[in-house]
Amino acid sequence: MSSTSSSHISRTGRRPVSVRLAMIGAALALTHSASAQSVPADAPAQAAPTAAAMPQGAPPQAAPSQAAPPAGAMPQGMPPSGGFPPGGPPPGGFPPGGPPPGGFPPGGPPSGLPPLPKPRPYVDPDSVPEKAVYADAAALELRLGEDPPLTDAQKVAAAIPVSPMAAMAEPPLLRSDARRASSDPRDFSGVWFHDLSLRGRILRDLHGKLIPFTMAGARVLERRSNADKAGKPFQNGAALCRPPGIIWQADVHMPFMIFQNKAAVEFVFQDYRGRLNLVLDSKLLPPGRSYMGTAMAHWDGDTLVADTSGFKQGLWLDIAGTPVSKDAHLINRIRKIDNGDHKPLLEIETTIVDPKYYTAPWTIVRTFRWQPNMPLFDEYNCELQIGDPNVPSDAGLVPEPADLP
Amino acid sequence: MKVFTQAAVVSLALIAAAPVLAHHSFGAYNMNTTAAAAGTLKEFRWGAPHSSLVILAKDKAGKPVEMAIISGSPLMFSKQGFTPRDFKRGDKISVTYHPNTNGSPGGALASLAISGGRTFSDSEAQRIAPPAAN
Amino acid sequence: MRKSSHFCAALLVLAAGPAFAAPQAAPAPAPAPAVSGQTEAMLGVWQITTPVVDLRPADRTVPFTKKGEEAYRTNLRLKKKGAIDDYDVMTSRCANPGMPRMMITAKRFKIRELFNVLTFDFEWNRLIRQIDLRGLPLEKPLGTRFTGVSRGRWVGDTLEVETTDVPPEALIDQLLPHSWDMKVTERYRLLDADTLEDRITITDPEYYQHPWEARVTYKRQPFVVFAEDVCLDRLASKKGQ
Repeated sequence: MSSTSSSHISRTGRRPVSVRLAMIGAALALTHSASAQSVPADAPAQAAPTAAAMPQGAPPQAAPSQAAPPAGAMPQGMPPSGGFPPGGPPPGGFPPGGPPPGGFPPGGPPSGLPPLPKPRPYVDPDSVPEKAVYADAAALELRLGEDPPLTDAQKVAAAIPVSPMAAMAEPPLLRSDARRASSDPRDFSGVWFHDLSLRGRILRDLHGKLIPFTMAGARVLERRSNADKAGKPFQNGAALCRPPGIIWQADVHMPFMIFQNKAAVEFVFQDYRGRLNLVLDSKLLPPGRSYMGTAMAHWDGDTLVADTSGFKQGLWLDIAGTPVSKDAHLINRIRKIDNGDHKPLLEIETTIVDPKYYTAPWTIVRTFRWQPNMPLFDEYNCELQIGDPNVPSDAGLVPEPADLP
Repeated sequence: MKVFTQAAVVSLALIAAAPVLAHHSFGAYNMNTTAAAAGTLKEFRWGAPHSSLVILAKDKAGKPVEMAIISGSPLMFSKQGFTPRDFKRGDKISVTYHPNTNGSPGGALASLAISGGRTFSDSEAQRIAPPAAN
Repeated sequence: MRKSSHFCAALLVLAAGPAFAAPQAAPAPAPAPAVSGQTEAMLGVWQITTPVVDLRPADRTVPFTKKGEEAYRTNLRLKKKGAIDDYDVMTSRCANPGMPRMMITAKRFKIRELFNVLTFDFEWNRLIRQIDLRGLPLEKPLGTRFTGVSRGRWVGDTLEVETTDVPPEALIDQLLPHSWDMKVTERYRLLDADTLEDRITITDPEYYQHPWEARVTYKRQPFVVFAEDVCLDRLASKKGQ
């Protein structure tokens, strides 16, 4: 299915996007479309396997109930706020045949659901005279939006097949007498576990926009994909038992703990025993580069804002290998969202600032559940295998060549 | 309480399974081929990021070779009744496995048999490998 | 379809199960029980007072059984031969030193608490070790845990911790062996606000004729953010673990 999607994308040069039509889009996305996608918006625009594709006896996958968009979602159908990357749309404009029809592949939406409106054709807002419009239903009509014309780099990225991986690990349910979280909005201490489905590749930012690759960034991802296809996947930090970076660690569906005081907010991940130390007192900042980077943080109201940089090596943001260079900055905005039952979500918004691989900063968001019933972590003793001097410990993986120019 | 316990067990399964998927694909193994080897167990390593075993065997030329065979989560072994104490250094062991595509000794576990006749079948690998002609 | 897709689909099936779990119970008021004052006094940053590589009783005599002595001598022989990986995977591979060896690492560690579970957060290779103070029945882990399974309770001014299920691959110290059935009993006590004592008793009839006790103390350290420590990198650069 991924190859079908890819050829469709590369043929047209454009792909429709459901952006964050979460309530409608998430349910529909489960059918068979590279264009429709469920939440998170940055997850691969990829269909979950249908019941027929599963081994017999397996229960069908329910539509994710985690489809609600994170707070701060853009109004749907609005033109992309960032506009075109420098240089504007490709000179050739739209490819022959115009924009794709969007919506569903042959077969249409599942029965019982209303048909989606056709996408609004993309119109460069600068190409028409400005006029005053009311924010009425006509202007904000719920539609599938469309991407602006892809850059050459985005075309490279769009042609890379996407694994249809989607998995949701469910932590144990909380008992009625489970410990409640502190009502202090600045107290993040606790055990947290992912609240969104695990996806193999981040395709879009939190606004549903395609990742703004530079050509170097797209080529790195492409080379990683090609190596995998050739049966020679590249090594990365995770494969070599090194801390793989916050986004990978946070996405991999293992719990993490947060301990904090006035000087630091310390994340302890089960996975790789990775640590992310958000330092509030600059005197405590450890010197030098590290796999997880070092981070100075400050409070912006009840949101903790941290700037992580100083990576020892580039990161893989996800399993597919969406790259971040070692000179990147990751800006986290972290807050606790509590609807009053003291079983909050922890929201971590991450902005990737990496001019080497991306033409502009882009942002993803993750939410994590309050999980006081999971304080005992599994032991992560990967050195026992990776450190074995007697046998190849690379799991058949090969070193990645140095970064592309 | 019972419901809670079951939920906890299932979730453990998922936590255990996810990293297998997350850390690498099975692209490094030739899942269309199954090879067999027998030898003695040097080590059985449970857990992160996946379980693996090291077998002292002999290659085609009769030369001693250490093979690392990667397998899935501890949960799979647990479901088939194995515990860490069932795997002892020096035990006779035979395995079938999907070889490394890079040609180095070892690969991804398909099944194993230990002394006493107990057997294990890697259900994760089974789902990937073609069912016939192995 | 690529072969990995099958695998992913299989995982999805696994993942689908819990979606059908019973709905969550309605929230009930549950005042957060405060961490006990005794536990709170133990929290903080600590470092062993005198680094050691051997754990020994006060009289330095280890009460080996015949089997225990043989296993110890084998390890000693392997050490002299330089065949480190054949008996000590902490040194050769940076593997988790396990219990009780991790309690004599020279670097600092933090004792933290969440939900009545203590987490020892080590500077050395980012290890963690946890002690459950909740008094709940504990399921055996599915795989091996070099840190074992630890449960603790306060008895007077002493935190008593019992650790079991430590695999024999994790040594007691740089050389001392043990069986799967070893029991490690620790008794933590604050001698003063800045000195923590851990009396460690090893009970393992297969390797030791009777239980024996070693004593370690730790000094409180100022709060610090540990630099990321990656033992495998040190090993690769030949600086040793």
